[in-house]
Amino acid sequence: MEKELEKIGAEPQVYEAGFHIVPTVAEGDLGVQVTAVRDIIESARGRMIADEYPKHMDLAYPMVKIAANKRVTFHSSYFGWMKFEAEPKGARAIDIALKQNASIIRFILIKTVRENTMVPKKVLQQKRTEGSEHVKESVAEKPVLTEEELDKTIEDLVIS
Amino acid sequence: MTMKKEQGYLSANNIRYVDYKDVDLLRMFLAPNGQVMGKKRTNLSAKEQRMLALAVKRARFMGLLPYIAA
Repeated sequence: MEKELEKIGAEPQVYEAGFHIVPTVAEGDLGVQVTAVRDIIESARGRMIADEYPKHMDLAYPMVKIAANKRVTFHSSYFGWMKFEAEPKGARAIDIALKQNASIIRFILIKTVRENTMVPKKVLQQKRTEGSEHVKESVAEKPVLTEEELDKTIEDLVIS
Repeated sequence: MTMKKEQGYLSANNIRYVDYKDVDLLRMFLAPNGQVMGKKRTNLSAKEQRMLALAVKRARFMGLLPYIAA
């Protein structure tokens, strides 16, 4: 590992840490957990770029964490993330420190870019509306009746 | 004769980085059972497809997407 770090060099890189906090923590105490994570990052000389305060979410599948020799299954959590700039050695220290935090169910530490990587919702909505228009067009194309034929069919319906 | 390939959704909307937290975007490229669609169905370039696959795997690990949808 040390050799790998030497290869990368000491130049700071942009990292992102995403983490799940246990749902048993009261919402009022979430701030304490967030500051604990922030302290870990700042103690490893990490400079904050962006972050999102943890939000309660249902997990896609149950997660198991072993704490004090007990398996605990979680179906929900508070998910938050922090983007920061740090040296590779600092990132390694953050990784070790987050592993030892008992109130974090699971976390991910990845290399990312400084810019905002989330796609604005407008772009996704455009795609959906385009799809619905396409369906409408295909429906409208089906009836191929002239006005006279239409009048006749309406008259037939009215008479019957 | 070579058919010109349709432009992928990412390059068409100038999306250069696929974030694992962007579940709405990722779901566009998933089959109903949670599998990542193939390159022929997504119309993405090889580089974009790799980026998508990595983001989906990260999202699954973090419980944002299921490994197998019921």
